[in-house]
Amino acid sequence: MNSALSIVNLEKKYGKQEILRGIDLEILKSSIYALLGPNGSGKTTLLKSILGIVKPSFVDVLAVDLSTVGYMPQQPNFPQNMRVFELLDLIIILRKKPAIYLDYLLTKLDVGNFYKKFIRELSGGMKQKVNIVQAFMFEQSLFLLDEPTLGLDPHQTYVLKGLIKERRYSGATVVFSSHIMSEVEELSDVVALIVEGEIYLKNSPDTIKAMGNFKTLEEALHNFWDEKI
Amino acid sequence: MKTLAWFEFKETIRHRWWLFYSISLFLLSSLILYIGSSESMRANASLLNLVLLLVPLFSLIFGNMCFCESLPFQEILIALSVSRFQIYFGKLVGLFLALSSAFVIGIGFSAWIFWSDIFLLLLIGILLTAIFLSIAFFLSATIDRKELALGTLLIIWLFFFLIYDILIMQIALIFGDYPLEIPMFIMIFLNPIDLARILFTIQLDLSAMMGYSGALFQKYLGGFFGISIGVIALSIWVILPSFFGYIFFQEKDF
Repeated sequence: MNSALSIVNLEKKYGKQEILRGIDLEILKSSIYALLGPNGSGKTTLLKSILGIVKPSFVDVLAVDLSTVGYMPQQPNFPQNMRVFELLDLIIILRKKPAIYLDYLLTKLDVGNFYKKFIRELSGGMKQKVNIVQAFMFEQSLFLLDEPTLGLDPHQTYVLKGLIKERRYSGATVVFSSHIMSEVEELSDVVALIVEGEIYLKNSPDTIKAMGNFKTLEEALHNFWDEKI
Repeated sequence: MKTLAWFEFKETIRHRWWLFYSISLFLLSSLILYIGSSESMRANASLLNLVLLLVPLFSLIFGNMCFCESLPFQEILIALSVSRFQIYFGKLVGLFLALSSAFVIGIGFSAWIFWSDIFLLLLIGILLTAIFLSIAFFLSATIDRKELALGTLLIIWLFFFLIYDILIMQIALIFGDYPLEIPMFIMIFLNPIDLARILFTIQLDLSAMMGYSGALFQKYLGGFFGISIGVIALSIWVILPSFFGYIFFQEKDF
């Protein structure tokens, strides 16, 4: 089997409001998949549905091995009264796997400076670094990242993009949501445009640009987006 | 679950509200025991009222606050393949241990200073902590809107602490001509605060003031047998809300 994640006909409703409608996704191993769409289009709900954080209202197939997933939520909200190392220790115990990349990440992201500090003492950027460490410290085959560069400075963004590429080249699959077109264009093999809970468009960035002779992905998606709305 | 409960315990005892709760209990109980040192019966009754007032209220509010605050982190735990059973009950057990320890330290320390026997009071306080944390978890798991959950919790506390007694008094007044001992006896089990109050009162032998029904309660709830029945009934109050809360938590979207 060559797919890291397979979804057929996933739906999510809150009361009468349909958040996700008939989502079909087949994500190949060792690829980077970007989810794009306006605010409230259902990107986060889709990622959470894959993980079981949100229960789908209906789904025909949802094939994913959760024991091999690294997840980065959009806004990390860790227990305030624990120290960074205590939090990471807990995650290592619960994951029941060796955190083989821990030391590497601590050095690369300069987490050592605040490793013994309480979470409540950290700035937003520091918390996001801890978020990256907890998601990437294990050998995982699938990474689900919800707007991973949100709140990061340019240096940290560069480091994170490097990590994503490293993992992809070592055989892992990365699915991430983003609003930043340049990083989507730089990183992704496939882009899925989600509008009002449906996948409107799914293709490689180059193919999408070629569809209308657009110079940039931003221009192309803006055009499709306008068409849909 | 043990790992999560221990983590929750450590997280909670570092919370400033945990310290505030423990110190408040210590200061207030010390004041009561100091003022009532010549009349231990009255001091014990005042201590009981303090416990019945503060423990349910704090357990409800703090339980709801901790539950809601931890929801974003629970996303990460679910993504780590930790079961919802472990997350829910790990958090409940950890919080229970932390709040119970605050209670035992606060009240126990003052009792130790003033040489007062408070074993039953400690038992009742620990059980009330577990009951009202369970109720807080049940409501937090069922009601998504934080402010609505908090409002409902406060109404529940007011109902059990005050309104329920008024209702019973009204029933006693309206149906005074009928034999009410058995219905009253049953109704007491439907309010954990009342049950705790009566259990304690009977063990202190204050039930003589309660007339015929007091005699009935003395008969069934006096002595070791009575304590056992009371503790079992209070334990059911712990189990039912936490169990039904877990049923809702299993389907909860984060």
